[in-house]
Amino acid sequence: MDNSRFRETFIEEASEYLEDIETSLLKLEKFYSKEAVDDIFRAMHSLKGGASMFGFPHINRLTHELESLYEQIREGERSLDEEGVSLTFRSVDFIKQLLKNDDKPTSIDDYETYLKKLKNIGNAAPEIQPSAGSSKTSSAISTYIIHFKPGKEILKNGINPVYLMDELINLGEGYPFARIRDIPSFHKMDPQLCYIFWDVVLATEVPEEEIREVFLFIEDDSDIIIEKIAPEDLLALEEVRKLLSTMDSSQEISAERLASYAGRGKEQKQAATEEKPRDTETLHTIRVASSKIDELINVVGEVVTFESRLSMFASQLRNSELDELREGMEKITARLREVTFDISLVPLSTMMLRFQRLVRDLSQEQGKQVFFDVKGAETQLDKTIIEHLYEPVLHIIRNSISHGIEDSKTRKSLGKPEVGTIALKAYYSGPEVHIDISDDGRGFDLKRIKDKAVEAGLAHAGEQRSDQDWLRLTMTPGFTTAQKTDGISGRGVGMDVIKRKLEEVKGDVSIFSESGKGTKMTLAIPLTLSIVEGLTVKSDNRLLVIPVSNIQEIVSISHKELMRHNHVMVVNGYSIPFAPLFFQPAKKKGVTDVYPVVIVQHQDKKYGLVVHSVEGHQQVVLKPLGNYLRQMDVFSGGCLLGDGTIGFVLDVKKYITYASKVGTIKNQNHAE
Amino acid sequence: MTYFVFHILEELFAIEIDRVINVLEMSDPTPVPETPDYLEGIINVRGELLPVVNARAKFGMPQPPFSKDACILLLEIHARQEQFRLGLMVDRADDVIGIPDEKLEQIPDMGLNMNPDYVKAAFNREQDIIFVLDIDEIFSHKQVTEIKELKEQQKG
Amino acid sequence: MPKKILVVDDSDSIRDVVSYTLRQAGYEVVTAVDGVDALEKVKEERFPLVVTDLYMPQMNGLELIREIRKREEYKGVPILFLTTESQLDKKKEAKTAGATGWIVKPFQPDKLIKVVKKVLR
Repeated sequence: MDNSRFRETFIEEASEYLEDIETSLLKLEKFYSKEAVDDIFRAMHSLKGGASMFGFPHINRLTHELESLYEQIREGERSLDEEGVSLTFRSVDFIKQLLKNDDKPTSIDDYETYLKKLKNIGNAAPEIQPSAGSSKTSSAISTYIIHFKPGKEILKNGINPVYLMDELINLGEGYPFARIRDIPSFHKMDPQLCYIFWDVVLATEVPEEEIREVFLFIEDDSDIIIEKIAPEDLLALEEVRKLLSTMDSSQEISAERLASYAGRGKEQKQAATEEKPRDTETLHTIRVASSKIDELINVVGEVVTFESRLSMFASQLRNSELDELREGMEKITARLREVTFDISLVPLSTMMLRFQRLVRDLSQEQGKQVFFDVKGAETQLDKTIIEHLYEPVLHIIRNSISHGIEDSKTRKSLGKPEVGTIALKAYYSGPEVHIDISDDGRGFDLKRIKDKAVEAGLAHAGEQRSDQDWLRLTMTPGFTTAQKTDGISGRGVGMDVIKRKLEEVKGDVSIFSESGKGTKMTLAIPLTLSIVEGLTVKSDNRLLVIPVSNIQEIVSISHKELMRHNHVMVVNGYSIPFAPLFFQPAKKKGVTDVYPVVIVQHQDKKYGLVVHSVEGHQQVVLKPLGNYLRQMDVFSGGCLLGDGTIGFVLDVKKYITYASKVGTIKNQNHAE
Repeated sequence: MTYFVFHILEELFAIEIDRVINVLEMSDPTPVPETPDYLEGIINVRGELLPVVNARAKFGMPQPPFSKDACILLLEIHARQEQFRLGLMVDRADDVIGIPDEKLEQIPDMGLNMNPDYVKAAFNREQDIIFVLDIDEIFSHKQVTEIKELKEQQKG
Repeated sequence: MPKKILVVDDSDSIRDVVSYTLRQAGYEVVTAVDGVDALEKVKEERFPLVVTDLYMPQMNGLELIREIRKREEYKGVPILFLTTESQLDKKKEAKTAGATGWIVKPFQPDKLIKVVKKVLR
């Protein structure tokens, strides 16, 4: 019950410990650092403590070995060599896998062999005995079986049996089993009665009276049986834990069977009194479940929407006091939005560690020497977006190492430094974050790309295109299917996947490359998806929102011009293709002879979107239209406007692409 | 298995109860441009925007005006690797009944005016036949983007 | 959002000490001086917990508990009553009236909080 919440927290914490260990290991690879060894020791120690508390016996044993190993290194009884570092890296991977897999090793044999290897490294190391402090407390622990059958009516008196179970289990460590066999069918059930009862196996050091006290208010109306089955902590035994975790709510627990395990345990459970040596770090940060942040963002979104509505009504009322309040509200809401948004921002550095690891492992595997340089890791992005970036960046780096960077010998013969470099640079660019990933490897072979493209039917022989355009072709799905096993095919794998993954977060990727010199990929990602500042327009009585960041200016067009065949208008000397936004202009027009045109920009080209009226300008909270309409990607989503009507937020980029395709926009001069 | 039974025009249909999240009052959805006719539009359900499909239009039935008994069923669809919700505009809610699996019959050859893939099974309740709908099949993505894709293909 | 507790007692000092202890523990407290006052407040809002003395003028604790339990929105809401050691046999009567549990006077602040946490999270 509550234990599962703690387990989740431990899993999160463990991931952080493992990251710290990896960071220290990467340091230790380059030079010896006592601090790094200390950090690893402490992290292993904490991991071991948590693992034993929350039911991860395999992780427990593994970290136990590593803790002894690093203690020895710390004391100078053993030196740390390359093999030791590698082995520790592998152990980290093992632990990650165990964490993901509910502490089950994919192969018990591998696990045991590995454990043996570790043991041999710390070869004559004495088993670390639990410190004197903890053994005192563990011998005071007894194990009980508690049968708790609440009286049916207890809910009516405001008792919540779940709180009681919490209180009970908090006395130590417990395995609760909820018995549901007395719950009648839905039709016969009275929701005001309590039908469930519990059996709990509890290991605790508190006296029996304190256990009984949990049920103080209901003992007269309920069946409470507290049975002591052993004067020791049976839950510290792996076999007992295993037995209990495989039991389900219909199985009875036999007190005799459990009692028979008494006296077997050699391993003592580490007392919960062990301290976590992370105090210094926790001073300035707190851990918050990301679901709470999501909820916060949702609520702030609602506040923004309501504030918009209030503002609208207030401005219509023309009351000076109200106006003052309205202004104040607007300012505060804007600030609230900023602050909340900021909370959901997470620095890129959280991802970097994984990439450092990747570069190290991959380059070793392929016998290449690669230096991974990161700049701008403190650049922040919305946390949901960051998760989506992991895969594309991973692919790019992998491609760089596998197919870009040459091996040291080749590099030397080419006059390049033996160690290749992959440089990752992140920076803000307007409303976006850009990530440049460059390598000094062999770059793309343009000729080969042209040939491949022609072969795949994506281009004609002799066609003139910019180098950029040719490179862009490698990201078309059709390109990768024309693969054969020559040098270029490897590069192609995953390229269209990269583009697609980025598009999921409304991002984009471009490639620059020079044959023989290297390649640079630039990822562009918007900073936030959720709140959009937009121009509200009406088209055929439909409310549409066009993001302000896409808008260049607003002009107007006459009905006559609108009906012109070539759909091009002249603005400031430029000829701009235009399109009616989701409506068919009537052949004959009466009163309104003039239509507003919103000029937007996409990939350096301008387009005019013709609408019926411009309503206003406001911030809206972008709401997804749902998976059923996911393919209607001309809209980035919907929104609720001030008066409750539903509007559609235009994804300008997608709309232009779509409109060009279906001929609403006739732009013959521009290839798309 | 328990089912939610409802009317589309005069015919009876059923959907597994655990897929019917809620029954909403009839309302006027906001139409979405460039979508098929059976997609009535979007409604706002406690801050969440949900698409609403007109059941009669979706199943190729005639479309007289809705009566005051009409309502919107909020359904949960499991399609491919994802889950999503949508509303289905129907004529009248009928009942919640339990139908044992053995009583479910194969779809009769006659009497079905709609795509047979949409119907999982049939059940006889006294004089009526209730058709059990396969909502995951009905609302698989393919169709909604028809119009958009068709247009793209024609010109592209 | 801190949870609000209604504390009912005709003795100023008891009201004060209970309120103070609960506020220190992070709860919000509203007080009432007797059963009638409490019922007024109960009608205005739904408190997640009510703590009441049993012997009060105008309307005693037992009657208050019965009245509260009559209200639909107070079904399942915990109600604790204050009692002295010698009156512990009152608990059966109180429970029949609908009380959830009791707090024995005099009490240590942490004991009070412990009992509150038994019924309120």
